[in-house]
Amino acid sequence: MREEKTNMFFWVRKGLRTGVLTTRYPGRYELMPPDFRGRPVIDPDHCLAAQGCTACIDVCLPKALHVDQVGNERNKMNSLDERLTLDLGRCIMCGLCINACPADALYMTQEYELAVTYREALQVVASFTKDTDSPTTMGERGERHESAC
Amino acid sequence: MSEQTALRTRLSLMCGEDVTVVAPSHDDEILLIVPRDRLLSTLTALRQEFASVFVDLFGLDLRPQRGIFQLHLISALDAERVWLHCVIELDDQTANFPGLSDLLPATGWYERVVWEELGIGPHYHPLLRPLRLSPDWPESVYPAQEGFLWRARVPAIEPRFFALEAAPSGVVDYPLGPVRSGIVESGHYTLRTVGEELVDILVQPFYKHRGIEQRAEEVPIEQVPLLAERISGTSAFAHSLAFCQACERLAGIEIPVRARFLRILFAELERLYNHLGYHADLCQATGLSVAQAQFDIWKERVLRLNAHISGHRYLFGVNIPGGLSRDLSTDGQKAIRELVSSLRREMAGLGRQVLASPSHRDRLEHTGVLAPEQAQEYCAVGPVGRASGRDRDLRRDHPYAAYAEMDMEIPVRQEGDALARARICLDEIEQALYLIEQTLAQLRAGAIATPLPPLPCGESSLGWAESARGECLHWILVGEHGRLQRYRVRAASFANWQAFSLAIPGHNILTDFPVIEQSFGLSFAGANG
Repeated sequence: MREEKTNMFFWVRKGLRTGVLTTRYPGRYELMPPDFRGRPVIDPDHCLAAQGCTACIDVCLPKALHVDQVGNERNKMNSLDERLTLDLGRCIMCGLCINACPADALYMTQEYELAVTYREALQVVASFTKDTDSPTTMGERGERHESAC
Repeated sequence: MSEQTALRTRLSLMCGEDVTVVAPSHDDEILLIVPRDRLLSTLTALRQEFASVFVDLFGLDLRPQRGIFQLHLISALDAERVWLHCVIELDDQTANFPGLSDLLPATGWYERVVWEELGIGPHYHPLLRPLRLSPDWPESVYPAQEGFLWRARVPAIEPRFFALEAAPSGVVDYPLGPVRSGIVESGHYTLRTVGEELVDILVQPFYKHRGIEQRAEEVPIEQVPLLAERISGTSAFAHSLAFCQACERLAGIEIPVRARFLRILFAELERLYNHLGYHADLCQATGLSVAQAQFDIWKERVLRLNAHISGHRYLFGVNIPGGLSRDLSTDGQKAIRELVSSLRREMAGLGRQVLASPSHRDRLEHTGVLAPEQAQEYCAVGPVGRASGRDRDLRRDHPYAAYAEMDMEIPVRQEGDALARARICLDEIEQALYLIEQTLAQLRAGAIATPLPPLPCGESSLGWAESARGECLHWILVGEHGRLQRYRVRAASFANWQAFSLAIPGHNILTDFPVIEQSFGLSFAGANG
């Protein structure tokens, strides 16, 4: 049985006709689709951690979320702040915390560029001061954002 | 149902009085309680009289509850679409069992895993050494025994490495891996050559044993799908599907019709990108660069489609016990249709051209032959098994999701060489496209998940799925506090790695090795667990 044989020129033509499909990334940022599970973000305006909510912490398998209390030196009454920390180094972007949150305080972005220069910068901290109405979030570059209230 | 009764009667008669045949709670599974001394004769009878196919062997520690160890041997009766589940109870004092590897070589690795995990061993085994645990793991620490904590710090001992005996003069041993060029998993090969000819190989695939089974026994059941997906990332959908189906079967719930069809869609998309990547890797092994790029382009398109419809390029997070976590939008359906029709047009020519390229084909033909008898003895599964004459596919033989309603062909070949495996994967790409088209045509509106009731403590269930690499089996035993007492996973690659070394000797030269390795297309992670 005479079998078909492919001429090498077939592959040359095929390659030339296909052309270059390599994208310009990282020169040009590539957007992921709307439902893509990228970096989760805490919205401190809505978060109920200060009221004792642990819904997101309870569903997190890699234990990337935790709440602790820190002293707040700015506060005249010397009370403790609740602090919700999301460790992006442990997060597996499964999205279960977003589903579990009863207060819409967690949402997922499509961001996938998460590299930072030191380990601690992967910890995203949202602080809730009991006595003032301005919760703050410490981003990974160390800047502090005050949310409008 | 009377067929079931007839089958059970035949089993009782064939196995004798000592073996108890139990009426099951599911009509696709029969339980046999086998005394230890009757294990060999029962297995022989099952294979000879019923043409049963060995699937899995594992153990569990029930000493806290009942003072015994239990050995589970699972076989498939494909013609009757039934699983035969043999349970052998061993008391603490005589914690050993008859060696099965003489009768059936495929059981060799499974017996070693039972021994290293539980401390109960076969009477006879040609090579009873630890398999998956690392060389510096202490001998008396058994991960599957009750009381072992996954988090426990286990003190390392002096590592016991195994090497081939020193090569005689004229024989050269080439070590390869675990660090190698390219994006490959960690695994070590020692290739033994005489001149150009490959005469033997020692494979060490177990660098990645993570103890996922033991980890899964510590977390709430709702979180286990996250672990199941990560057993082998490229079979994420298949493994999470097998686990979720085990839960649904135990709870006795029927998932909604739409979810059953959508599960096929996602499962076939997973098969599609795996097989496209398989061919890309095979073309890389033979140096057919343009063809490699063509397959890589299509694989990337499927991965982007996956990200579009599920939020994850590798379909993580789609299966939940009870159905699916997200629905498919009309937008998503349109994207799938477009990709399927353009891939179909392309594959018609691409597959044919690749196999007709002499530089590629010559390296595949007669290379890395796994003979049908060898595939039978080692119970090879998936495309590797089907290329060596094993006519088995869970989608047809033990249908799940909506596969019973699908029209599909299962390609099977007898040659067992790399060319046969490549052809099977090309045919399966075509079948996957056909299945996706059928699913889209039959998709109706509806719910995508049913709530799962709490699973009853002390009950167990089997779940299965045909991943891109073959048959995956999951078994769960529910414990207390909403956690699993025992989780057992038999990935397809575990079965096939045993058979891999048989394809090496016999007219293969050193440069055939990359071709043989890529033509098997196995996953280290899946085998490691």
